[in-house]
Amino acid sequence: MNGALGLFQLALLAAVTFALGAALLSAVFYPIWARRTRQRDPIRRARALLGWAAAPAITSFVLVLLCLLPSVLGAVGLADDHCTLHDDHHVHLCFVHLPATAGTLSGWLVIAITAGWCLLAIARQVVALLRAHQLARALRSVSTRGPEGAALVPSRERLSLTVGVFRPEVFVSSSLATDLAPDLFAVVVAHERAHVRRRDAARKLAATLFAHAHLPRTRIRILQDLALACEQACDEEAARRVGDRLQVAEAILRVERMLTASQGLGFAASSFGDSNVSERVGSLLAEPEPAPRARGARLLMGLLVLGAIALADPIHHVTETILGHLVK
Amino acid sequence: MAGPPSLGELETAVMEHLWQAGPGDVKAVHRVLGARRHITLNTVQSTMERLYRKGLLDREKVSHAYVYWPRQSREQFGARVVEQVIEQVLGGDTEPVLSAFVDLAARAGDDSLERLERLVAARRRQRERRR
Repeated sequence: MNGALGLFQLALLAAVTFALGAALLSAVFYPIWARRTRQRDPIRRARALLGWAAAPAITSFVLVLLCLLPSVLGAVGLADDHCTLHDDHHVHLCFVHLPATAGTLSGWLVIAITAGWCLLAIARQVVALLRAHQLARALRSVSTRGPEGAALVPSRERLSLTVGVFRPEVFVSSSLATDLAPDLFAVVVAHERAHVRRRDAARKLAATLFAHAHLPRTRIRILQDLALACEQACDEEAARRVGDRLQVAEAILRVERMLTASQGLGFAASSFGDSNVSERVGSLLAEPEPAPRARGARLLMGLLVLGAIALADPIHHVTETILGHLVK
Repeated sequence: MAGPPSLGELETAVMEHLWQAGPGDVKAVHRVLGARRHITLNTVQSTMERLYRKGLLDREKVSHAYVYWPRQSREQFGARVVEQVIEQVLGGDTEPVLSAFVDLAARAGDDSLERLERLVAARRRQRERRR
């Protein structure tokens, strides 16, 4: 039992170390990637940003599995027992040669702090989920069926919202429906429906959760960039639906103009000049990118997987060395 | 931050009925809603009492029964709900589970808006000329 706990501690410490390393690398490389890809197709960008958000978590999980792979192969007789290469004082990430103790106190303290941090992150998202459920329920209770199948909420504020994660709903204020020309209103509803179809709320919730493993500044940037990419992706879908990119740009500008002129929301905004309207309209005025070829990406992914498996042994030995210094 | 008033399905149905039909007692509301939903008079009574305690209904005793009516019109209630939704959105309480067509918390400056409107108008004119 002690040995199993000891191995569990080592694996978790390895995971925390890998996640921290990935977070530090992301802090360096993410801004470079973000600058180079800002003008790229938002649908692909949104997918990649979800990957960036989850990078420390995924990297950590994959590397821990790779570290344990030599031991697993040795245990089932598919590889030689690698532990004979080390002396007895070496830390073993091994199912066959379990550690002698249940781990160190400082090691368990690090794990407890990390677990607490993760639970806090999960709790925050659960609260956000419950709030969204409450909002949707309240809006549903006052809404009626409107044009384009949207739920109309009686209000003078010019609002258009998609609320909810598991069953997202679109709500549009009655004043927006009456004050906006029908062709521009159709754009607004098409945009919001795109959020529903793409499951953007679930995507952003997952990204927010995973991104807690990043350094704070990187985390904020990734989530802001993801929010923008999701909006732009929905603009693209709305443009395909109505058949006119300019019409979508006009709808964005018209609604922004209405909100700026409004006595309510216009004054309630917490920042001016930080709006994403400029990027969204700019993206719609640019020519759309051709669809990428999937085969290249799949080949690259396959090569990465094979490369990672081939490097399992060196990763395992380096990790044991690092852990050896950490748990002393 | 207090959220918007949250109504269950039956509560919403009772409010809808009273907004449309006007003031009514428990029996009158049960005659319309209860039969459809196979719910008892007691259930409708508890619901209307709950709405009264939430401050959404007012009441007056007429003979032996209370007559209820909504404290606010549908539009006023809707506006209140939206106000509180906006408060929560601007408070950042609902990221990332809510998306708005245009960012509610940040406005583009007037200069930026004018520049973009001119760009879009010019592109529109260019396109019309090509046709």
